Amino acid sequence: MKLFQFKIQYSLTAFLLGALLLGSCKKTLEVLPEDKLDHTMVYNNLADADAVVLGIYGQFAALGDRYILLNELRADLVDVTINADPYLQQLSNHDVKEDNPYADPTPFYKIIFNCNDAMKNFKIMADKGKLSQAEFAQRYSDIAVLRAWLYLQLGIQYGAVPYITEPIETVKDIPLLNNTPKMSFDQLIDQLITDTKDLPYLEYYAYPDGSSLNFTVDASSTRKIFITKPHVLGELYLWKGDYYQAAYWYKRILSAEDLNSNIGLLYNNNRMGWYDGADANIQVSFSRGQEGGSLINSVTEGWRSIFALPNTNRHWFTEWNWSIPYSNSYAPGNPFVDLVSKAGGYKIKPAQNAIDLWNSQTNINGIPWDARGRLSYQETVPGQPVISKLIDNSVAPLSLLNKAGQWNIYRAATAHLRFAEAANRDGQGRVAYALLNNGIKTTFYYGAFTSGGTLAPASFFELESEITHQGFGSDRTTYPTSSPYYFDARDNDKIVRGVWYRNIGVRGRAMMPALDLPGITYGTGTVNGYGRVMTGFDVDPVLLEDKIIEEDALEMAFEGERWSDLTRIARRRNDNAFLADKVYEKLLKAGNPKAGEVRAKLMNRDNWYLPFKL
Amino acid sequence: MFLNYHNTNKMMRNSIKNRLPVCIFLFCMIVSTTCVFGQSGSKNSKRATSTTTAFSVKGKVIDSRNGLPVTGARITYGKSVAKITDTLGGFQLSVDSRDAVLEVSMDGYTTKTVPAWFHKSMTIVIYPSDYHSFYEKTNTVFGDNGILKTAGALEKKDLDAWEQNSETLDSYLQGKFAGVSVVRKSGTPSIGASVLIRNFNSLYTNNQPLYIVDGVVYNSEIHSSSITSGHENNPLQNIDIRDIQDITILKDAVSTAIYGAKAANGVVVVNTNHAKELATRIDLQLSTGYNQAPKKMPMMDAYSYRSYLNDVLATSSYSGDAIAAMPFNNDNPNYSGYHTYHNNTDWQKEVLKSSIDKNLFLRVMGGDNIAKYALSVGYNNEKGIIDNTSQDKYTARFNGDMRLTNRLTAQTNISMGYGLQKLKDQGLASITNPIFLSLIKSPFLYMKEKAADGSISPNYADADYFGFSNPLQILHNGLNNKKSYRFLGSVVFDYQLNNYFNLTNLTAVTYDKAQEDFFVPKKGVSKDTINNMEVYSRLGAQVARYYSISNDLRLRFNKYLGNENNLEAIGGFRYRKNDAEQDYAMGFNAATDQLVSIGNATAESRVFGGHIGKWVNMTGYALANLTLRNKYILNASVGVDGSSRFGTLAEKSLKIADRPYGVFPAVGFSWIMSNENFLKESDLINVLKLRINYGLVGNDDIGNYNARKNYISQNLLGVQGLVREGAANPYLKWETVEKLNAGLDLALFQERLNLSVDAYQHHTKNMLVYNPGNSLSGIKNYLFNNGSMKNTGIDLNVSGRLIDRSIKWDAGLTLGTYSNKMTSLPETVYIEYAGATYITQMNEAANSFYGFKFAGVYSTQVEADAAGLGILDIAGNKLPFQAGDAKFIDKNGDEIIDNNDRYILGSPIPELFGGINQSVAYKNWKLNALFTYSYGNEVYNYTRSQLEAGDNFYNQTELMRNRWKADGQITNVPRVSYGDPIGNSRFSDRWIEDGSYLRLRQLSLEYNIKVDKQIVKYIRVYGTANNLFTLSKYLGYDPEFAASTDVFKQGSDVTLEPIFKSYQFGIRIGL
Repeated sequence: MKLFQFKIQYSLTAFLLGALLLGSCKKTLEVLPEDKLDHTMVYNNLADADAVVLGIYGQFAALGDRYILLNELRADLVDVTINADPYLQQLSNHDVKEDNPYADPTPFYKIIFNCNDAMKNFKIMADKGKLSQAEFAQRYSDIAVLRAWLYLQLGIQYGAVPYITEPIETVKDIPLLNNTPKMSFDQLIDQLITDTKDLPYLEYYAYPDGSSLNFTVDASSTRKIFITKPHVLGELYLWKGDYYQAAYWYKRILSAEDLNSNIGLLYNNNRMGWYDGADANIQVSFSRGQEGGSLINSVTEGWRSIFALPNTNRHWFTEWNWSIPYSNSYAPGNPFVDLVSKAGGYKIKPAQNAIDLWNSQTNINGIPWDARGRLSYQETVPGQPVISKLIDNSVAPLSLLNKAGQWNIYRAATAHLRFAEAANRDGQGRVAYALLNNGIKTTFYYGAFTSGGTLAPASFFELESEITHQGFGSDRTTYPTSSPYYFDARDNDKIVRGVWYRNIGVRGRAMMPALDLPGITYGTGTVNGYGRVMTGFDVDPVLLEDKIIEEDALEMAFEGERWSDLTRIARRRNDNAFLADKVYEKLLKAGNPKAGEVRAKLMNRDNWYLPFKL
Repeated sequence: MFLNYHNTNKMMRNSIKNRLPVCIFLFCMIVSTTCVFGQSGSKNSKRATSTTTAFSVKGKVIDSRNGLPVTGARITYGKSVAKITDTLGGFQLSVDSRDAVLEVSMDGYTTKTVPAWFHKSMTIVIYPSDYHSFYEKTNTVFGDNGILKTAGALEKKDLDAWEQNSETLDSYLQGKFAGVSVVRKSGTPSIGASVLIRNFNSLYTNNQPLYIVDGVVYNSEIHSSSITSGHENNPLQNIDIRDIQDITILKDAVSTAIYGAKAANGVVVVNTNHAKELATRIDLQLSTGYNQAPKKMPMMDAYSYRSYLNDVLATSSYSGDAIAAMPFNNDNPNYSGYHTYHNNTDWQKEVLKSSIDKNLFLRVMGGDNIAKYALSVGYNNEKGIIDNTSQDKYTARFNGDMRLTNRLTAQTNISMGYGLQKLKDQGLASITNPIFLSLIKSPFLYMKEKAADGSISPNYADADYFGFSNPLQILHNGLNNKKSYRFLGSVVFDYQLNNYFNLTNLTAVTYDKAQEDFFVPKKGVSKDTINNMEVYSRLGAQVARYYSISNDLRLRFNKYLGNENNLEAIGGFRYRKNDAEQDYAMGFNAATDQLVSIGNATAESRVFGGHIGKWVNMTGYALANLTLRNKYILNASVGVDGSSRFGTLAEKSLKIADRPYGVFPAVGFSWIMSNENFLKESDLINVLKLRINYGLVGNDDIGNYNARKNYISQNLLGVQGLVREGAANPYLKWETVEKLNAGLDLALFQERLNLSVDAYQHHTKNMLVYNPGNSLSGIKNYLFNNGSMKNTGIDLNVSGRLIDRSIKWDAGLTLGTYSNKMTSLPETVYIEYAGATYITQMNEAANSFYGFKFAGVYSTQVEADAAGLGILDIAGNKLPFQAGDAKFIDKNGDEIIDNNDRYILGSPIPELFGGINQSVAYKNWKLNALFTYSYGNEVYNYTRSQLEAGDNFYNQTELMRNRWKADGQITNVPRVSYGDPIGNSRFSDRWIEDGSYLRLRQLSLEYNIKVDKQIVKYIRVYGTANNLFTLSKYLGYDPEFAASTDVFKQGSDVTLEPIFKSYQFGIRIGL
């Protein structure tokens, strides 16, 4: 019996001990996933940080169609087709209901959620020495500015929005977010400026040469996939009304390659220059000077190719500053094929208003239209114009079976026109005029011409007039080199060439004449009365601004800038009619019976904003 | 103390419930420790016969079959008194307690425990062990091993399933157990069934019961979907039901709580055959079967179809000239395509074909004093009724029992299953489902190519003018092959420590693998656009595997406490590690239709995917069963369950070493009234027992990693980046089902009539439901444990022997009914499946059909105008209904038919379901009949909604001849309209049908041939008819189907292989 007792007690003890041992072994129940990553396996090294940046941009790529729809369909250059669903019609008619999926802010916040998570963890990584200061600065600033851009978009579309900068850790945080107060658009702009202006890395290129985030994949380069930070700062200051700062930041883009020893980049990158080589030319051009029918309307050359070339093409590279490539082989694929093409849904089309605007222009050769229209949309079936700008592709035509192409966001022309907008409001109308029209040289040159009208500076003094300056003729003051308004366009192949010597202005590149505005006076050149030099510039800034905004339409229609351009100016001028009239005109021309109603609505600023569905 | 009971809820509302598990745990611990330290006194606790008064008992034992006395039956009382009945069946003995219970046993008969009578002579009728009785023993882990001595709701059946094949364990449960609803998924061999024990207790997690086979949790969950559409790889197919000795269903909390977080859906305990005798026994079965193609759906013939087709074309964008120029409208016999388009093909006849099965099963049992074994092998060649589909299934099982020492025994259970299945796509696969294609395919086409002169080519025809696939190409040139394997091996050691304790350890390993590949040829199949690519031929391969290892260590205690009191207690610890993985590759566009393996897909078209899931469970459990004076039974059980799936911050959990554990306590009380003195000598009532129990059980099917904070892959072009996988939910925990069960068992007329009734309420708490997220989180919705629902119901089981003379007639009825109600739900859930909408909302049953009410057809334009109803087009303009359109009821009276006009149209949950079992034996003949029924459930006939929609070029049923054609025509079938812009064929009660049925599920007749027992033990020949007739108003092939076990896919007939009639003929030989 004793033996039994011993056995029992021994066994029981062993049994309980065994149970406890296994039970207390915490690790036994700790099973990490293998087809996804446990949070402890992320943010441990540079490769993790890079993967997070790429993941965020991967998510961002899916915003393309929403961005275009919200910014173009609500404005005056894009209209619905008969195929448009009621939700698109709501956008066009400014009658958006809360259940409208296009008006759902969730996709923006979904990316913001990941930005917040990344920023918090990048800081931790830097603190723990898992990222060097430089690696941290680049990645943190990149994601911070991308987040600021997302919030700026939210502000433009929704007015007041909650500003959330902390990551969501657990599902219990989700309902709490409903109590986040909304920040007014003005407050938001201030907040965004505060949160971005002192970021540790605000260079033109998000990642410097040699960074692990610069590589080529699927025939696309990542170089310009990441946001152009100075562009966002410039835009924030434009909204804020701090025009000098806006000009300063846009100038950072324009002069990004001022020191590059690669001449192709030095003279072409963001310079809005002339015909550079026969391999591709991104200007408006005609094979036979004055014959409209000879317009180079091609996805591989001419102005249209800007939107069609691959991002590894050198001309593409000089024009674009921020663009997200799509690949047919990987999600999400180009969303514009479904939206605009005839093979796809053909849900939106160029507004009659936009077509009329192009057709009311006269080309430098007297051709009675602005060629950029015909290069932005195609009308193979009469009455059914298709926005080709969004689906042009020089590698292979886009179709439902080839959803490659790009979501092109910011380019040289955008930066030029925005810079002009800022300079004009900053009292530097002539610089603005120069970039808008036919370039620095033609606007600022004071000196001799040949009998054929070619610039022929006779002295260093005359040559130096090709540097931007205030004043006219010999009574001029050159901007200091530190000024954002300093542009050196000196052009003498024997002596000196300023980095801007190729600049021909936005209109110049489109073969459009310089605008003849009241307040501008001209005289002749310094020799024999040849040529024409500007002798006075006193243009009403509001008038010039009108022209800049009109040029925005001609140059950048369908690119997703229009709604913000119109609302920014209307706010600046406190003139709601500026926006309301333009949208009214679009609807009126489209025969939309709601045109008047919409105009009345837009006269009230509260109606500019989409309903914010929590 | 290592227990730290975690309760963040400051309210003391739940304090009693919270203490309950602790109390039960303590109770079990105290019981165990008392036993340990009570050992010293054990020698004094012998039954003190000499010190108390002796009562004299006498009686006789009678055989139920012939009413004759039984000689040699054992009458035992306790461990010290045993008598054998004399030649007259009589016995006499004395007992020392007024509450004494005698045990009467005899080989081949169910052992009975009856209260001793003192005032008159006892008459004890014993029944052969195949008779359903409350005295049956059960072999589950639970206490006493007898149905009578538990407070739980359990039901047991002994199996002798030789006469049936083409059944799997899950489908075999149908109609046999009260409250167990079994819906066979389809007619495909081994596809299995959806088994709900007392309805589903969860919306989004597993709702199928836990299967315990020979003491081991048999993983029956489907971890990886099949790459064949409409198919599921049923893990239960690897158990041959002829290997099963008995099945016990545990429905309540107290009998299942030791399975903790896996017990919410009830438990099916299965024991396989072990050798009982030492003599060698060989059983051999050979059978063959005939599967009968189902009755065809009445589709239109070529003439009617062409008329219909031209009507639909006329409403499309084709011009009249274009339609007239279409090849099928060219009736010139000299036209080269004349013979291609002038046939009258019965496509159903070509696809649905009768077939022949073959089966073989051999079992050898025997052994000696030391070791016994049971070895069985089976081969089944089973076919469905889709032509060119089949299954070859091989099973093998070796069950061994070893007596290693007097105290130590060992048992091994080793089984292997291998199945090779040739399948075809089913369900929602309009391009590749041959049954669906056989219905919609134009009858004027021919299955093979025809030349201009009408001669027939041996090649099957290509896809047709409208791009519809040729089902015969899929049948004969397509492949959907599956090879599945499962190995389950377990070893049990049992050590008898002393008279009261034994220690058992069970180790088991499961390895399961399913390999699949498919090929859809280019020729004859509609092309498609997938992933921005034109797709001609389709190829795929998949490997799904599952591995688990488990160990269960258990200490059992059993002791007579004196004064007719007994205590049993068990404590144990279970560990289980699981590992599931799925890897698939899909590709498209092989160079030719002869290159069928995945490597031949074009490189850029290949897509890879799969998942890896691992999880670990650790469970401590205890139970106790206290019997007082043979009348009052107190059961308590508790499971303390830890899982790698639970979130570390799970609320209301037990925290051990920072990990949360779910505590699942249950208590039960039972009163055997028939053992009371005032009732025990009743001639009428043999058993009267009341049971009540209450407890908690859980469901841990919450996803392997959902409680963790994870990062998932997000591509940017072809590079992979990382993003957060939503917000983490470290609060994620098991669902809890609170089960209350009250039951009554009654046996009358010397057990000629047995009746069990149970009423129950299941209250699922912490149910996983989707909560609405918000824009600011970027999260649309997330799972959280904040839903709840209730199931209340009644189970009834009546069985008895109606005639007990030379003819024996046993009859049984099972009946279940329940109602379901959502009691907490963050928002109303609408689920879209196969064009149907299911609604789940507060205070209503989950998962009801939600759609429009159809009230006929507008006969005239005047009538349509007068009604004034219309729909809004995408631009928001009202489109009025016209003559010939469907009348839908305008629920809100706004004259616009839109989503606000939807009604609840019915529920797939039946009002009553169950089975009726009849068994008649006469001399050497034995006849068994099983009827199953379902009453009051609605089903959605998706297939018919495609065949009577009148909106495309599919062939339609003959009903479409009555389509509205002219103003004034009175009919119930709306006009045809290509694309159906006005929505006449929308989801409405037109497609909802009564799913009630009564079916003769199985009828079998067996004849036992007289043989010389020296040579052959027996030879039996038998015939079985399955699904012989079905009484139903259902218009589809068959009213029983389940696309999966998912709650939200119930009741939708999505064109699966129908359940068909089959006949088997076989012979059994015993050596």
